[in-house]
Amino acid sequence: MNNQAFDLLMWARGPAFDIALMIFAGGIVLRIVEIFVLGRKKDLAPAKGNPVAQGLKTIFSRSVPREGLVKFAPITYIGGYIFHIGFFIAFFFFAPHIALFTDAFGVSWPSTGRVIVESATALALLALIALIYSRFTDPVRKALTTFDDYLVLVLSGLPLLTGYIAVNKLFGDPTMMMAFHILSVEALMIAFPFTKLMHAFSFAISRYYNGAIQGRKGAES
Amino acid sequence: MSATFERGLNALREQIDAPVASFFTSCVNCGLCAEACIFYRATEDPKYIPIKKLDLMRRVWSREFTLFGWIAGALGLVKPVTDKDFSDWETLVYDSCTMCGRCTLVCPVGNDITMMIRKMREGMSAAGHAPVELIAAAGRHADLGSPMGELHPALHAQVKHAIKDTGIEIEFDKPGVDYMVILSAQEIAEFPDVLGAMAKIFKKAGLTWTISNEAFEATNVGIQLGNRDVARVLVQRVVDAAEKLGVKYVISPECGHAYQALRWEGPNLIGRSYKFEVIHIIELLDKLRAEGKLKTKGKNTQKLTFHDPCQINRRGGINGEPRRLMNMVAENFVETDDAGTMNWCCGGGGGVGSNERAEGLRHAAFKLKKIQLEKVEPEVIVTMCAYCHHTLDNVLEEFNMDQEVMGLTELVAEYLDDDV
Amino acid sequence: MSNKAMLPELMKTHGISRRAFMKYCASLASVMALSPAMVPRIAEALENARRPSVIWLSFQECTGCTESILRSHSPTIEDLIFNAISLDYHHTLQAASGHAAEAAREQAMKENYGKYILVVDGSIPIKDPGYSCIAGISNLDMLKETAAGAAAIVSVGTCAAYGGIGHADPNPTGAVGVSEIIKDKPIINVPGCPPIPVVMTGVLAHFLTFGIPDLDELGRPKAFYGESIHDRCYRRPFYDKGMFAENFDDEGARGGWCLYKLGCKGPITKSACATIKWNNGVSFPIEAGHPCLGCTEPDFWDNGGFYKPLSVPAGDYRKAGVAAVAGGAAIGVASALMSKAKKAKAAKAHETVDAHDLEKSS
Repeated sequence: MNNQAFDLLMWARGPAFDIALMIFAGGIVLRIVEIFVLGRKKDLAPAKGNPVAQGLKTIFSRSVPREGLVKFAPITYIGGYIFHIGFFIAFFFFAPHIALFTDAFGVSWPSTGRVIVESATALALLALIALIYSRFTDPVRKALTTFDDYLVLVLSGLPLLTGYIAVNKLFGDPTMMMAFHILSVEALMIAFPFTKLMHAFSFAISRYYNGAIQGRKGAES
Repeated sequence: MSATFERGLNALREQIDAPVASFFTSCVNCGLCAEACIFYRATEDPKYIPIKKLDLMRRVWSREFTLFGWIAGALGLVKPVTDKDFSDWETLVYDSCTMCGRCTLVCPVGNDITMMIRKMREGMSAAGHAPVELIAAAGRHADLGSPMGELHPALHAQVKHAIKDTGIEIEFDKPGVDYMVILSAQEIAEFPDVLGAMAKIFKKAGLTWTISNEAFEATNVGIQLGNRDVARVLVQRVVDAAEKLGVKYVISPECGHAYQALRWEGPNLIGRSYKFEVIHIIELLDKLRAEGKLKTKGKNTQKLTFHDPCQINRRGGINGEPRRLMNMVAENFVETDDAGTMNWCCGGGGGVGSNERAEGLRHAAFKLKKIQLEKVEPEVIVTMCAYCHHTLDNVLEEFNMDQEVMGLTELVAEYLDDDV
Repeated sequence: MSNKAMLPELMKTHGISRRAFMKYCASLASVMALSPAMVPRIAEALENARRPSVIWLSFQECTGCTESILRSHSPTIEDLIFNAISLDYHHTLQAASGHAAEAAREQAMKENYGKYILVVDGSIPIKDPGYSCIAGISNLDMLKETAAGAAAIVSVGTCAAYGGIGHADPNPTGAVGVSEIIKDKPIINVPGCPPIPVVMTGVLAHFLTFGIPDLDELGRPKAFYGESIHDRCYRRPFYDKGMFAENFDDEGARGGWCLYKLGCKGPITKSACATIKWNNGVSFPIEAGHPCLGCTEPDFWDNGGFYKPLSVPAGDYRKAGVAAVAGGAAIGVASALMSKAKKAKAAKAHETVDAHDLEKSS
């Protein structure tokens, strides 16, 4: 007799993960390499500031919004923060996820309790809904939104939703929900190199360039 | 030879490098650049969202510089760029962007949108889609030496006037001096008092300087057009003149894009570093102040505020210098909201000011500047860019506001200590 | 053995008091998650049950299931249950052997045709039935033949229920569970490796008293397989608090923290281990400090490794990852070099313009 849920889970943990991983890792490397190999010309103007130092600094400092701007796009700013932080906590501080990193890279770090993980998940989901809402209603967001944006929003929400349902056994067979959870992550991984999800890696490169360009001139960034 | 679509597309391809690829890869369509943009904020029209102004270039990058985009293009999922796109994007890239750089500083993923607009203009200008005024100015600048045409007689008249006013000799084409002064056409035509101001300050500080008859024009319409071939020729004139005279420094005047052109783009345009250094007049004044060579006496008692020119502060890195000088000569110096790095553009930069088609937008954009000014209610607005000065003079008049605008060099010169 | 002996009489012969019997019925009720009000009905049903014939077939198995049932933790009572049935064939336990044994089976089948209960442990090889034979009869033939006259089949252990160890990848014998072969009889699966003794006896008791119990989609009685071990695990609070043993001799292991990271399959394993426990309710694997292997689930042997956490990919993904990175880099370089060539071509095609070349001739 076959246990469909179990088989699906094993497929998700086995071949599906391998396929997703290959597309994910290969695709990201491809796109990052595509960026770097293009290169840029050496800047011949004598530097006033230190481009490298400011580039590196900007990778972090750009995480803080400029004063006075939050009020003009509160959903995007606040929702964006909550989503990213919530997703980050749920992804990196839930013990089963850490176990994956331990298995893959041999690194480990302390996990956090269920209350924090689940609150983070719930908040991230709510933030995501708000972000989707703003894409429908806010004229700026609406004008920019493409299919890619909705796809990415939905794909980032599904792992949170299915994970929450699986852990809390809200409905459905828990094994099946866990399989769905892993499959939803794999969908996210597969979409990753083809969509704006790439920003999760390229943001650091972009911020570095931005900081370095400004820093070379001794200007703020 | 004339501009063609193919040349435009070709020029765009030449512009795509690692930073551009990284920026387009990173964009998440969050639209936070909109709220930083003077034109979006003034009109609230989504077509002015900064990153949207780059759609055309983004498509070229995606279709031609990424494997997935190439496949998507082959499948017909990404539309190829056409000449119609160039004409559709012309107003977005030239009329509704002063390349002020605010969007570059707020983008959460760090995209230098402004730099990309500059690059996109390369394609637009090569495709023949630059505003007619800029094209005409480029012709005048190339043939007659200045975007305003032949300015030699005016310059010589102003220099004569300054010598008479100050009693200080100003010599043209004098080799062996340390400094070569170049001026913006705006200064020669509208604000010549800066000549006398510099003469006074430099005399006190013991600087030796000259003006070249061959290259006195600091502005560079090539930068505004976004055409490196045109820009290169204009930079080369200054470099040749300076190197012929053997000066140690060329002083970049109170002009925003002139500073960008000579200080930051120039060496890259001509493909080598200079045999001299470029120093902005305000940098120089602050240096003299620090060395004790610039002494002032007394202070202005009016309520003064300072307007930061985008290309000199936000995109030029000169921020502390004017403030130290202001505090030296102003008793009642009040900063506006967003002063410094995030100051609002005057609305006239990046060629927008000379673009007649953009007049409405330019006036609309003043709304934000007006809010800034009304909160502080200064009597005098001090700045360090002749074009900001010119633009502010005009819009203030248009809006019946009676603030006076003044260059920082002139202000400092007024309070020079004559006893030392 | 006679099939007429009734329970009360047997009780007398075995010296079991009425009180002990009622206590047993009560424990059965609780194990089967029935209400206490059902206790008298269980007692009544057991007292009045006719003693059915049971044929126990052992195929590809390790005798662990038989060992387990023999060690059921109130031996006299379970003994009673086995006296309440007529175990007419069980080749490990019966005294008879050889032809006599097979004759006993054939006789029991004949006498109770359509009424006997068939208990199976072990998987059935179908790739080549010759892999496992008893008295020259292949497991497959014996199962088909014996099942034909059975009232119901109880598949004891994961091998009989789902193929179990024999079915594990690469399954050289083509081992399958009973339900893959027999489609026309009611089958109760009592998986486990082995199943908890009291669960086996409880299922038999339920069958005797109320017939076929409520089954889940895997044919398991819901009363025993309704909840995951994770949900009823006494270590669950550690999971919720994020406290995990990282290896078998760290502070967490000694402190009795959650074993998830050591590969515990409790979250996806349905069994009563955490509630009924083993050895007279003394303990169960997790309580003894070992992660659950998930033995009541089909294919538990192939779930990626007993000590691999559930969240960790089951396959050899590292190779795939490294290959993908290398492949991605290679394609990326190739693609980027093409882009660079395009750029170089554009640079070559660049015609230097001057200020008079900026207008389009139209």
